[in-house]
Amino acid sequence: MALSYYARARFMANLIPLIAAAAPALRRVVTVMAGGKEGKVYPDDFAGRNIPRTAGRGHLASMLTLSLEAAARRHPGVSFVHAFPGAVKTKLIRGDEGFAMQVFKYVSLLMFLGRWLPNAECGERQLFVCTSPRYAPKEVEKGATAAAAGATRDGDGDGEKEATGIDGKDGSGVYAVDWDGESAGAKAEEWLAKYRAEDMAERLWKHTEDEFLRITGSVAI
Amino acid sequence: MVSLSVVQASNAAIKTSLPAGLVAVFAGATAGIGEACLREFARCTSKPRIYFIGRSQESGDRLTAELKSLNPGGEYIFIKSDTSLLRNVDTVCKDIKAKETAINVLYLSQGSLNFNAGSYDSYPLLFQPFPHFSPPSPFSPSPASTDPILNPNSYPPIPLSHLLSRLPLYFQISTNPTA
Repeated sequence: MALSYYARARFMANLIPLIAAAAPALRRVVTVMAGGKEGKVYPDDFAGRNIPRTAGRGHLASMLTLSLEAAARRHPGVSFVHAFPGAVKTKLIRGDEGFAMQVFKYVSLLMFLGRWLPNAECGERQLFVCTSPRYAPKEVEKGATAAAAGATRDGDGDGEKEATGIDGKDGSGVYAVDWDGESAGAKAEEWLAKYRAEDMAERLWKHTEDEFLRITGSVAI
Repeated sequence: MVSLSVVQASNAAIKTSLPAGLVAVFAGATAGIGEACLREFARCTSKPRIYFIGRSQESGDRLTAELKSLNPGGEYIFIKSDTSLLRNVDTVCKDIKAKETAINVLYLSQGSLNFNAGSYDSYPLLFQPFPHFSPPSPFSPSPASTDPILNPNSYPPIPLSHLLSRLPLYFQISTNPTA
């Protein structure tokens, strides 16, 4: 949880003023974890210490997306994407890890045979998420480059419209995106709509800032 | 699905459609997904200035050299830091803020474990520590944290009953990485 949520929220809180000050052509925060896999969040246990094991991913994914939502409300000129990278062969399990890990490594390789996303393609798709006008901020300023400005309202040059944001509207500034660049499906959107109605994003951000205050003495640097 | 050709066309157009001198910060970039994106970012942009943060100086040096050869016009600054600690995040950000007034892209991929075993770098459910914290990766030792939330030592040892109760979960791992 630490690396996945609080540290990332701190990076965002600290650096967002600089992102908001950047050239309008590109102002983006991309967080890579489990976009589109949002689920039930446990507001009495945001840190996730006692939640059911199987609820971990949905809880974390929701927290990340909700934190982006809270930031987007404060900075509508910046766009925010929570991405799911896909099945990528990284080198986490090395040859000198224990036997059980080796078994797991080969079991995984077999289980996902044919569905592994090559590293290079993952990189290309992630760059797309970072730079494509498809994932535009809510408010596009005049001064954005012609390509970006023109593209945001009617596509990125190949007739494609802006991506659907987490509130179901195109180009709304916060996107939960699958490995292939497509926006979150119905289930995730349902959870996020429920949390929007409950103002969960603000509740989560308040908790986050309280934790920041408790641990570091400041809300951001 | 956004087809790969659309993705590649968009990436190829970056040098003409986006300004030169883009500033980016990549956290968690010395391995896996972050590294892949970092490479492409360097390759497809014009005169970028990229700060990338990781725990391994060796990986940082290797990557800096690689990026320089991919795109010699860019500036690549590696910052060695364990960003599981909030105070380290603050140090890194202070450092960057002293040098930059604007950042175009913030890319956060540190500690990207996929809980659904949908990626090769997910930690098997059976061996996940109790209750939940990011396990150390082979690229770095455990963070010596004293922050109560971030300190693994503040969590109780794993009861055997818990390990055994988790056994059935291991067989529930979804086989569809994109589910």
